[in-house]
Amino acid sequence: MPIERGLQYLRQMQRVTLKNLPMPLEKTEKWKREHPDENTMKTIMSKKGPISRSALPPYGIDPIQAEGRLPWILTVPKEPYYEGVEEARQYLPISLRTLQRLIDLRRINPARPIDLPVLCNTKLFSIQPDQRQFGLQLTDEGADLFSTPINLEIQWVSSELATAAIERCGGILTTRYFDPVSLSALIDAKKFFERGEPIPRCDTPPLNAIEYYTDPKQRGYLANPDLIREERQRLAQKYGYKLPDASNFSPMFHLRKDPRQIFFGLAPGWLVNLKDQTILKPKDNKFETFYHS
Amino acid sequence: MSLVLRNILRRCPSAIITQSSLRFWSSNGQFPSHPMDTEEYENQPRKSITELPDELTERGTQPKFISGYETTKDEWEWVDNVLFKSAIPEPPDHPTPSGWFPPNPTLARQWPYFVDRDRFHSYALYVRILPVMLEYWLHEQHRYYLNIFRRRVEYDIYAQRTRRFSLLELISGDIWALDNDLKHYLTKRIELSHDKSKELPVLSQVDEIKRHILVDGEYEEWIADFLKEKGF
Repeated sequence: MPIERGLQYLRQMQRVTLKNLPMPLEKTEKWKREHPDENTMKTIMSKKGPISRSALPPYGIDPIQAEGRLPWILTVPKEPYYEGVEEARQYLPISLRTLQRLIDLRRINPARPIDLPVLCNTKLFSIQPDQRQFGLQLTDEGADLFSTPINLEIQWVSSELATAAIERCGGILTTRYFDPVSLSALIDAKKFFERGEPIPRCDTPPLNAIEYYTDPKQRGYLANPDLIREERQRLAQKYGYKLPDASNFSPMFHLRKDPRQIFFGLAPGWLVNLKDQTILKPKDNKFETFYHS
Repeated sequence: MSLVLRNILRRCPSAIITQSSLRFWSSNGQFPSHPMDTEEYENQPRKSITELPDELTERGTQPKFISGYETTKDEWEWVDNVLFKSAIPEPPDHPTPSGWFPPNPTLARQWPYFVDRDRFHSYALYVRILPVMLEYWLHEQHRYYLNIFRRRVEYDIYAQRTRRFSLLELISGDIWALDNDLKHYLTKRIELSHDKSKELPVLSQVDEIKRHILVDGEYEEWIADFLKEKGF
């Protein structure tokens, strides 16, 4: 019934105005006039000259201003080893030294798991998901200084030394993939909650990343935990330190996220109400199967 | 529109223009670029919502299924963990494994100058890469402003070195005395290190209004050691 649709609009929309309602608009006469087609363009455009004969010079040649300058297409050299740079994923670096400094100055609490939103709240990093940036990567610098056990979740690790430095102190490292939609929720969590959207579920990584995130050597979140334990022993033997006992750790250290989960302790599909400090959870089964598949 | 027509219009009183049947002005293209601000568009009659069937509305899908929900306050601590807090915590009183030292006020009081720390309790030491005038030839100097607003150039081709400076900010007291002491310390360090890339004498610029010292070269680690010795 159309009246019910109107009432639904009133219920769901924050503001109902004449300009806000989804109405089809009649085309005014000026708007109805057609776009010029090929035949009209042919009668208008000239039949001589370089444009009609498809003989324009390459872009960047201007007889007045150039005076010996190369056209734009020749000024930039061709460097084929940069092929694929537009599609490559970027990760902003965070060193073990900065991590240790943040823990020392009490800006990060090592008792709780250290995650991407916790690191972004220090405002040292500006991650831009639309610039193909997918999170943070851990670098070597400061491996000698590092001396606190932490439960760290990072998006990329390229060197074994960094993983060894964390595990030597008794910490745990996992690498985790976030797609751009969930990344925008993690970077500025307060801004995301203010938008009023339910927490998104994280997608599976793309094909060229699945190998990385199922690899126990990189401590991927999709890897087999038994293989990860073996790799920890192997690294300890390689770098010459003893792995501390896992029984002494607090339950915070064993916290891991579900592959579809973004925030620790919050499941996808939930809505957060910042003003009343409550969380709204959908009851129906359909939502559970969708968000937890 | 041509200049002649524009001048005619300026001199005609507006009443004549609106009443006349001739339209002097027209859109540049053959079709309007966008109908949004035209009078006809804004004042068109709008249909009421009850008349429209579902297929013609612009926003396509309606939510056909809305589930019930429950509210809880149980997991609020996890939300609190993730929110941004602007309070900067107090640092510890002892030196830390990452190489951070707290300031030593008893040692710092004896000098005629004082270097403050920034709000995150670290030294106000920064690297500066200043732009360089790329072309010095006379016939290219009119393009000076273009070059200044381009990307900053690190390497100074004419001086044949990198153009990096170390900046020390938040200085109060006798800046010239600090400048003197800093230069003595850095020259001693350079002589001890026998590094051929570091040149003597050490050049610096003092700005009393901005309360900073700009040292030519990348001496950040040594300046940090100097500040640690003085107890700042």
